[in-house]
Amino acid sequence: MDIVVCVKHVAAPESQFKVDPLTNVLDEKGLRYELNPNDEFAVEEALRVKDKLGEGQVTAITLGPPRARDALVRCLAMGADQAFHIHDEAFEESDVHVTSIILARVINRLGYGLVFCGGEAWDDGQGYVPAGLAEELGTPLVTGVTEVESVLDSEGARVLRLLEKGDQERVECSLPAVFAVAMAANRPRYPTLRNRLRALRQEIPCWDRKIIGLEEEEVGASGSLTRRIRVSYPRPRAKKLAAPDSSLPVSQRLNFFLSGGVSQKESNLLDGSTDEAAAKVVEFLMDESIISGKGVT
Amino acid sequence: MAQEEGIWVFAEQRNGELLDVSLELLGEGRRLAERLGGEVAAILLGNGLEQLVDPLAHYGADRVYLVEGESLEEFASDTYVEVIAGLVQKSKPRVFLAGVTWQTRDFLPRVAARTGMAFAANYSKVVTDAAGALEVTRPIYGGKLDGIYAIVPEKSNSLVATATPGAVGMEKPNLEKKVELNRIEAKINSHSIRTRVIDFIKGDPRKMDIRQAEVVVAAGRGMGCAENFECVQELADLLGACVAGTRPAVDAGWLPFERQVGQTGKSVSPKLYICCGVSGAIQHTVGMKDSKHIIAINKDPDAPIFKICELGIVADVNEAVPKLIARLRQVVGSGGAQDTDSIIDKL
Repeated sequence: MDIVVCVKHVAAPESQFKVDPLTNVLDEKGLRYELNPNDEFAVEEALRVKDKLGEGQVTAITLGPPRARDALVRCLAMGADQAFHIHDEAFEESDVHVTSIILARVINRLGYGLVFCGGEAWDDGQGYVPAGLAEELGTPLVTGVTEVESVLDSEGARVLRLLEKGDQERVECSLPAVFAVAMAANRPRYPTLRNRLRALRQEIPCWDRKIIGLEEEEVGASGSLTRRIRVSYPRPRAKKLAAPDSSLPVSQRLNFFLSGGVSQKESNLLDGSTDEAAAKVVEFLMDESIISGKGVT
Repeated sequence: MAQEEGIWVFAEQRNGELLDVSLELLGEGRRLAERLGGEVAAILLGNGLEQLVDPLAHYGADRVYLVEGESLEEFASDTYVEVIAGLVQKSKPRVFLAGVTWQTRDFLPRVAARTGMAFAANYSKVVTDAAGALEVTRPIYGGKLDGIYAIVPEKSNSLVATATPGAVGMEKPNLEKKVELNRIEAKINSHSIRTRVIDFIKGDPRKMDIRQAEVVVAAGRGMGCAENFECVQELADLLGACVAGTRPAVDAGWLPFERQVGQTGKSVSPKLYICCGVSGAIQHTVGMKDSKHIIAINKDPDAPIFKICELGIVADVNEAVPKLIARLRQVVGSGGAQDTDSIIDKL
């Protein structure tokens, strides 16, 4: 089976994020780039599926500027069979909508049985591209995939997906399909030095707009539904400052203002015998309906 | 083409109970509708959910689209996309709000892709610029910066935006408010459903990510040694809780690193956080101070943990925890622990 993994080259979380105060754009000087952390789980899951099937090939693709080639080198070093770099000046400033269209074109051209993506790109955090791909390709989508249990060409695939509160679901899905892999779904393999060196020598074809067959108006800023107009530092969350009760004495009201209106949590210290304390705690848990007489709720 | 108007809110429910985030967003929808015009409509999907229509009105909905059908009893991405994209194409909302949950992450971006609406995850603010085009603010780079995005009017005039639960706060309900109900029967082509749920696996507190836990029992240096640490696991099993720990507990090898809470570990905000032998150093408390209820057991009455806890026991943990376990056993019976064991067996 042919498996395609979509990855992104993103600014690493430990980079320096500075906003240019004159232009309100991100100062790229302090940024260091790497393979999107979430995408490593997608690459690993794709490689595991290939290992399980014992056939087929894993193709990594990325859309991005020349530096994004490094993300593909990482995928090759992890064990991907081939990689394609999607790059064209016209693609710059593409939003998630256009990105999905471009990637879907490429995937269609490559041929595929399964498409893997990370849950979301760390830099953008939209989690849109897997869905955009599924819609463009006309395939089903499963998000939050923690494990692909089995792949049968005729019936489809069985996967485990994460819901909430640690609950999981086993889902059967027809193929071809798009899977968005959950964070920490697996332990991505660490590329050996030999594989890294081999990956550096491997050829990575670059596909531009003409090869993919898209018009200039369809891509980049002119095709996008959204445009980033500026970035800013997040505003600190406003503290709620309630007005002090006017019936309080002046000293207390002053204290109220000096403390910023924040009072320490009224804690209830139990320092009697441990038996009594245990009984009180259980009583508290029942009051807050965390436990009930019948069992844990 | 009809002009897009009105604010929609996805009224998400689990087994017939509305999620808080949907009620929060109805209030937010009201505020938006005042600025952008149009009505606030709630979109409710499921089967036999009529009792939820009034609460939706009380929290701000002018209209409820109630889509019912047997095929909607269980959540399936394909059916939700089909139903909701159909509604959007017909009635054209300007802004469509929803909470960030596993369900909306699964189907909502697909609705946007299918209907040509712009999409913004984890949004914090929606405004209009001088020309009346939408502008949305959302966190980027893991929340280190805010990105302000314009929706390009020539391309799209409407927006799907999701918000994290608790981000906007809930308004007081207005119990007088009346609502218009649009009842729609779901017609689903069964061929269009391409995924099928085979079974459901309950989360196992011993294995799951501590950030997803509702109850966390944490151990600190005060536990003393690995043997004493076992009673913490026992307490957690009784409560169906996840075990976590401070950095000293992880460094001592009692717990794996992924269960560390604090500055160099994970941040959690469960319903209940019980700390055993945790002094309350700032490096730990930054990771747990947002928990709803905190119970602390420590022998030092001046330990800083007692400043942030709701209930504190001043006692040696190795004496207090077994007592607490015994007392809990009396109340919940041994059922709790057995349940957990049987789940582990199944896995």
